[in-house]
Amino acid sequence: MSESFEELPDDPALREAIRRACGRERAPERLRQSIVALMAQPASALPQPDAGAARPAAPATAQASRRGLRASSLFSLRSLAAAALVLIAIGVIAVEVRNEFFPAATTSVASVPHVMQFPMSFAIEMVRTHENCAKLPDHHLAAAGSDFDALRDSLSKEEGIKVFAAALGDDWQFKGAGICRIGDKPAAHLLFARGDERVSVFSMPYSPDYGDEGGSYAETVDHAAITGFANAGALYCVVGNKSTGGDMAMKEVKPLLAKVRSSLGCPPGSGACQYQDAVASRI
Amino acid sequence: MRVWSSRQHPLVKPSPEQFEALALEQLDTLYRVARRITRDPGRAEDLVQETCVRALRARDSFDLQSHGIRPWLLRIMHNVHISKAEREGRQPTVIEDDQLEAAGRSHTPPLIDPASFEGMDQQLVRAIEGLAEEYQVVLILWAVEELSYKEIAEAVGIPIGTVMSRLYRARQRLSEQLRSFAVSEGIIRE
Repeated sequence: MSESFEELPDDPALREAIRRACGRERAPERLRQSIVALMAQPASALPQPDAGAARPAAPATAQASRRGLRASSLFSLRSLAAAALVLIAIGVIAVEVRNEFFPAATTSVASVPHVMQFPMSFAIEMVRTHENCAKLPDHHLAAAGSDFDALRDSLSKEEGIKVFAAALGDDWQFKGAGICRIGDKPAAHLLFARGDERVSVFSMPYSPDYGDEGGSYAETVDHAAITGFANAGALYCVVGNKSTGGDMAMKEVKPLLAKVRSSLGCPPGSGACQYQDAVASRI
Repeated sequence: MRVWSSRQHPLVKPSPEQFEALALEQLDTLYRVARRITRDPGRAEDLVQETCVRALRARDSFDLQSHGIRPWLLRIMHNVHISKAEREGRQPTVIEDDQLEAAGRSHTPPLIDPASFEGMDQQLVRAIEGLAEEYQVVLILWAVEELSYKEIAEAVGIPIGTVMSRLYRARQRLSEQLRSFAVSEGIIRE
């Protein structure tokens, strides 16, 4: 992500309005079924996608050829829908047989890794908030030396979730905390510094937009490493970079997320977090 | 349920099942963009279907880490659309931004009830549909699908600077249209 995003300021209100007006449109169910049925076919049986490419249609015959294509599409849609129904029926029978005769073989939740995928705009806004706050001489609510217990209570009350507020250790100096906006979303924000490295810890209410709850996230956006996880209705993220604009390696940020987990009573390898750790080790 | 991330995924070559799951997740996105490109539900379905056929045929060459499934599928759709336009005799040409702007100006917003959210949404949809196709696609990919400029550039096959200028002009044009609508309906004063 080396390109600049400064030339065109974001417009969350317009974006939201367009999303509300145009984002509700869904692919028709018959199209979905036809695609599922296509996927069930071996590659060699797939229809030739470019059948008309070898003989470009003259403009006068374009409409007719389109009608032909539509008619053949409808025909294939019907066959594909029938094939899909057969496949679904076979699937249902297979599941019932498995449940009847092999009850122990039911899959556990942890068999499929949940990897969170933030909207890119959200990740970019998080980095922006981190960088803007890192430039402040003092960070809003609390200065270094604050009582973390009191800070946690205060921020948790504001956010309506269990907020992370604790020391990070390893020479990380607490620079302050506050409720900061990531785009239009308020988040509890703690800022730490070590030399020219800056790290932010954000706690905010979880939203399905961020991916599956119980999932983990790790990505480098605009030279800043972001890692995070969602737990008990909250999203926790650690963002790190260098004040000089340099990258801070993901491997340096991940241990800090482990400390956040531990502080929240979610130590690595325990209970619900075991699954998250398994996922985190894969991303 | 979202299972796989299209970014920074550990699996460079997904299995056929994973590939299919990833592709199916993007079906609504493909359909929404196809509707904007084709302006016709039936043609949009044809376009999505053909895109999926090509994607399935090319899945062995798909590299998740370097492409990301969504820009990859959108790029295929873009190419299929161009090929179809060529086949149907509409030779795609390089379109300058001022031509794109002029194309949108012929649109006249119809009268609707401005008092309701539904009415405002309809007005916004009509205003978007009044934009040139190239603007619509960039706008939808930015606002609804939340693609980054880089991903939009990859998907549509244009430089990132063009993405930004099209987005800028689309937003400018939208705001002009919506403003004149709001003034004409007495929602705001000029």
